[in-house]
Amino acid sequence: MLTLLALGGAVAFMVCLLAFTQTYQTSLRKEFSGMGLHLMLVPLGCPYDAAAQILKGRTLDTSLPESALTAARKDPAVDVAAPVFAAAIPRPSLGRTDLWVGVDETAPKIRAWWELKDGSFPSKPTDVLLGHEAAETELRAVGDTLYSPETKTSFTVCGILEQSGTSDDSQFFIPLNTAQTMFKQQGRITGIAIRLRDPNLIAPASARLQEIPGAQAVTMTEMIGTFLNLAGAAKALMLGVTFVALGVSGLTVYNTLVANTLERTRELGVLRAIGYSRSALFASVTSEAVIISIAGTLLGLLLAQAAGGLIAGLVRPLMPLASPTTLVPITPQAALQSLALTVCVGLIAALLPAFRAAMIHPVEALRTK
Amino acid sequence: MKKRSLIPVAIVVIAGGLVARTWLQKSAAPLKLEYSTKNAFASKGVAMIPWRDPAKDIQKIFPGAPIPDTGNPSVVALSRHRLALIKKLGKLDHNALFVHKITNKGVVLLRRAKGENGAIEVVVFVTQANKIAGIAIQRHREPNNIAAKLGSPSFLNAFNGLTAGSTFPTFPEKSLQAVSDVIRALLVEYDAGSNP
Repeated sequence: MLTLLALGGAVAFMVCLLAFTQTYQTSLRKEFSGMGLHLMLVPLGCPYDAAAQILKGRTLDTSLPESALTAARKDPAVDVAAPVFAAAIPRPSLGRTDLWVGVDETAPKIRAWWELKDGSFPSKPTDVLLGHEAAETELRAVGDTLYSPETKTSFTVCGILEQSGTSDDSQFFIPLNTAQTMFKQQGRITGIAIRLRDPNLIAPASARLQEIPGAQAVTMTEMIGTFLNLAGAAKALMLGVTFVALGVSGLTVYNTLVANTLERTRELGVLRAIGYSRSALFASVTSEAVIISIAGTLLGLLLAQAAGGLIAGLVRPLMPLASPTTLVPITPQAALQSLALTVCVGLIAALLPAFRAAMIHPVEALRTK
Repeated sequence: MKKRSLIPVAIVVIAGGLVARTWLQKSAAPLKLEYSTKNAFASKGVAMIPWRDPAKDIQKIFPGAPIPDTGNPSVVALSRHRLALIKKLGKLDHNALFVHKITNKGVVLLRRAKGENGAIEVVVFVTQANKIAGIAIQRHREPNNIAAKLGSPSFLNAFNGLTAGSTFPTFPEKSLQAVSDVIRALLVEYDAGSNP
């Protein structure tokens, strides 16, 4: 019974860990896809310096050539490459800072949070799409005119975005070519937001995109690298604990089988005397180990089902970005993996006792008391 | 005997497990971040508009007057005058008016007007007799020709001395007319709200 409990406990922990890890990875992927982009291509140099220049309303000394966009779009791993041209016109004396962002038709694909409140996305060179707050501040509705006194450019409001809680709320989105002409930066872009076909391709894709002249790739993975490292460390720690528990369970199985074979030495001797082969005795002991392993796994699955929340609670604090709502779903895959591993442990534990049973000499066995 | 001694151990283990579970669930619980969904700009142009340069404006229109705490304006309720105001102005999108009180001088009212090319923020100085003492344009995005008219003394002084019952000047330019309409609406609302 104790053997079964030890084995069941280890299996329960392992099943929950496997299921939790699976769920965690899924939720991380979901977070990634929710962000809409996996990496950014920015001009070589300090990105903070570039941001400061933009905020001061100065022309960027460093920007990307539009050829970088063409090169990024040719990469097989790239799903969407959305160019961004950003420029700010601060006019503190007039109480405003205009944030102009040049985008193309790929912008809505990469900004998953964009939702039109009214109108449509820019299609004409003089169209402007307003962030929610920008529209409210400027008292603009679809069809109204919006003028940029500094660049002497007039736009027609084509659409207004729903409030998103992001910096997009206060920005003016205009067609990329218009923005480049407006700020006399033809053929240049501030950065490229990239979504990959598969987030797992981020490392090779980043390495390839890094080769684009004048560009440096900043991956989202770098930003959440700390989370992933923590998660990996936690997983390794938990797997270590699981394997130690399984090892201890294997020792208890071994102990049980050794005790059984010792107790049944006379019976085993009788079986040998009436014609049982060594291999039959070997199989008998190993099958006993397999039965114990299967029973332990079943008990473990039941325990995991019952105490899944507790075990998830143990693991969750060590896993950043873990979905708070997801419990530990015991998947058939995790159950089968646990069963296979437990049977292996049981078989290894049974080797020595089975060998001992197989090697019993009938006469000597019958002499024992 | 052995079985009996295991029972209290099992009870302690189960109780300990439950306590640990509760504690872990509490510590692992996600932070509940609640963002306000209230939109400060819900009423277009009439929400509290920052008074961007009170010192400069006061120096021009109420010279020597103390600068009020612009972050803490008074509120004039309009709800009981709703019907009358709707009759006079055609509509009323709000039930209150933010007012900056200037000691011994009057009040300052702010509002955004829907200019042709963007919002125009108007600062209106009203005397204690509910007459316009002067106006200032603190923010706009109009082209040069309209901007010049907006900043011209002839336009800015055209409202001086007007009361809620006065006939307000009209302008052919959409932006200038929008400013005139907003000034009138502000004055009419304030006059009604400040009247006991």
